[in-house]
Amino acid sequence: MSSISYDIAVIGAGPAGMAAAVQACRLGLSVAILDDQPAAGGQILRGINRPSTLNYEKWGHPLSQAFLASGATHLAGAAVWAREESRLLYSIGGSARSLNAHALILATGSMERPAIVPGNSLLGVVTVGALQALIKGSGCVPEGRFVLVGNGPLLLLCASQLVEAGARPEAIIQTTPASRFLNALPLAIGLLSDPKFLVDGLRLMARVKRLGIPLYSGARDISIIGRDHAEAIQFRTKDRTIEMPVDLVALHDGVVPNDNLAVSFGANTTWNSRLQCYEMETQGATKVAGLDGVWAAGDTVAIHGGYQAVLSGKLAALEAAFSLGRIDAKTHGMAIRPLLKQRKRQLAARRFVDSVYAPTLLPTLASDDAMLCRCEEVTVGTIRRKIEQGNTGTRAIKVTTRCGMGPCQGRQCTVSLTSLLASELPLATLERPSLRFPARPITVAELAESHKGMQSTGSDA
Amino acid sequence: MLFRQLNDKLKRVTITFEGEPLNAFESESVAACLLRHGVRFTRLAPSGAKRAPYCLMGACFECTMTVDGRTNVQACLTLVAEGMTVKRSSNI
Repeated sequence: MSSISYDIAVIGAGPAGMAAAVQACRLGLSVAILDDQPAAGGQILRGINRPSTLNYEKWGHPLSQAFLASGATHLAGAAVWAREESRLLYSIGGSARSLNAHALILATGSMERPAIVPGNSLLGVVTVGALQALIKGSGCVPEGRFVLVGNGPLLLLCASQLVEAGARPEAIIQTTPASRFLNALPLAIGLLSDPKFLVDGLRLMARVKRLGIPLYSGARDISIIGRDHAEAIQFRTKDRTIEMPVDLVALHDGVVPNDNLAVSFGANTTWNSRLQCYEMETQGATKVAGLDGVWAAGDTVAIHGGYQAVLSGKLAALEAAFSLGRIDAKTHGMAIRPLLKQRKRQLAARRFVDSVYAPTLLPTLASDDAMLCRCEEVTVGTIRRKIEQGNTGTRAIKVTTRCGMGPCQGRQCTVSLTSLLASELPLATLERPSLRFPARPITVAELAESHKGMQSTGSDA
Repeated sequence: MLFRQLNDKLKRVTITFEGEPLNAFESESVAACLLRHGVRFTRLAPSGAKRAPYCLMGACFECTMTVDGRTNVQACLTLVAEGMTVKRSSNI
């Protein structure tokens, strides 16, 4: 199989990946950008080039225009499944391909933190991000009685977008404890260093208030009730128990780095107990520690949001170009200095939001019947029993329960499993379950095709 | 039906789901099209429990189906196309 060579390959065409591609092209480098979605934009800028009357993320238009004009080779629908030195193996529409790149920038963004509540695997339960993806990507909105449940800015943002599109939720059920705002006050000063972020947030809260959607705050003990399909949602708020009939429940509890591909390539991640998620180990802002020629940008490293993703995408491209000897030290230094300064300001503003919207639908707070591993149907209770029986590591639990061994390859459950282990066993060996080749489910035909014309038999796979 | 298309001026195409023709709008994903038609499930979990598209962004694999004969295709990452055939996995 012959492979085209590029100076830089970028994986992920969201804000970080697009910004990296634009920056690298401007420096005269050849760029391939691979993304598993049918169009560029990632999650936050999904559908940015789609003709639509619903335009949400206006800040993304200049970036998307620059990306379209950049000259980068956009490989849409490309699912990357392995890296062999400078060679990337990927499939488009079930057909295996490969390319060579001197430098790699990982920009695979974030995914929603799994919401661990009883009934979370019933039909009629989706994520809030799913509803947003359906509007932005496919122009579809829910009908019937639906509620948005959980915690984080996306809950309010998605509610206002749905109403604008003519789909009104029955209620917004917020699980953010009221005490969070008070406790986070000392961090609020950081918001002043990024006024745009603060203004965006206040505007959004005012907009949702004007819409007059019933809003329950400080909700806890969430439970979705139904036989096969969600029929009702039950929760406690202000010492009352409320049960509402529903057709559709959308859950959300913030986002976590979508880093499975990076980990399968050998990147190291560390558990952040404050944020209850893994974060990637980097040297400086973007160089992936321990992996030669690999940089990472945006939420795949740590959750810093869309604006920061653009900044770190540019930084990663500048660092990669400098490392490849395509820009001199002076040009590099002058270009990165203002970006690093702006980055510091924006990160200060995030601390308040991170603290207020720390996760609320964790497995540690869930009853035994909540589903932790969707693919293999492993409940929170099953994991708790395994811990009681003396299983102290993620690997032991994976082997005895099959948690993380289904089609999603642990994308959904790894963070929840570690969360539960870390809380019930303070001294547990918090070793992350390993991810094996291939990083995506592929067919034997794809595997064979990728080795065509090579000396290797592929038997090591 | 739990979902509806906002933009009915989009070009229409027809796909086949389990042998039945379904109206689809160009540029919607296969998962969105199935949700709009009230298709209740896309996959069975090991116990036989029914599962439907959940995350719609490629992370949960609940919508993996057989599309034009290819197995394990994530319906949320795949756009509809005229004449496309979609089935649940054969192990169901």
